[in-house]
Amino acid sequence: MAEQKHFTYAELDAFLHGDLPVLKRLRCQLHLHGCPQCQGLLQHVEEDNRLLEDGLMRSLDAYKKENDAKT
Amino acid sequence: MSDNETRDSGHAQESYKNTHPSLINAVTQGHEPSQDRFYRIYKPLIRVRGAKKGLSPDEIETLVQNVMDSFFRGAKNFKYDPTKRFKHYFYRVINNHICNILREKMEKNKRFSAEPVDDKHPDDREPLDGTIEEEWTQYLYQTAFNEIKGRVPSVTYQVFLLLLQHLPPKEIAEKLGIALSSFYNHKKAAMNEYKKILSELQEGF
Ligand SMILES: [Zn+2]
Repeated sequence: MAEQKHFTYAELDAFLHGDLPVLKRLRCQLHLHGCPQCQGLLQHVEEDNRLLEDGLMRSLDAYKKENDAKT
Repeated sequence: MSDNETRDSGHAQESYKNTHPSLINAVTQGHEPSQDRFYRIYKPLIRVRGAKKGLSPDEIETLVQNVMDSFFRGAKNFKYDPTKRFKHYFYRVINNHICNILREKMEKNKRFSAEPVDDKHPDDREPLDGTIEEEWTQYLYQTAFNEIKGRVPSVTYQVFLLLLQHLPPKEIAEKLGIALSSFYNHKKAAMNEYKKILSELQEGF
């Protein structure tokens, strides 16, 4: 069996956001089923997205709202 | 106790676990660029605290000056102790200076008289409440955001900025004239640097 190439952080992030081309997305899905290494990296990408969206974005939005209320 | 003694009461003479040990160590040794950095990083936090306690803009500026002044002068006597938390210590120094400002204001109104608060020995027994923890987290996120600009290439920074404006990846890539795959590489680079700054800020907390 030919050795399958692992997916990169950027590719997995694109996968999570539905931005991989169809064929690549299907391959990624299949690969993820049997690859603990890529599963681990996917988790890492998900954590980073949470930090960005639930942490930083929310914090900046709250800060903006606070400032808008003052002005 | 004289007014001067009251004002001088904020010396950081206790040894407390710190923020980034290297930064604090450099500040304690009087390294001016580190003092500049310390000032830049911690000024917003002091301002937020002062505003939340209802200080006026002028009082907030006084608060920043008093806290920094007492910290820099006291820093000569500051000893790094990994068993204590700088965050808690620093919050108490800020709070004590706020109390001093409020007390002085009340004294001027002749409605209040009490012993000034001494932050040479901030009370370790009193836990910091959830509001402060949340405020601290917000402060970390925002400070890291302010710091990232000079630490990543311009395109990476633009990607990060547009992401924070809730723009979808495809739109950002189009706007910046880069491939979608490039967008994700820039996003990864920005997140890596952002986390690095966060961990520098959090080190020791
Ligand atoms: Zn893999």
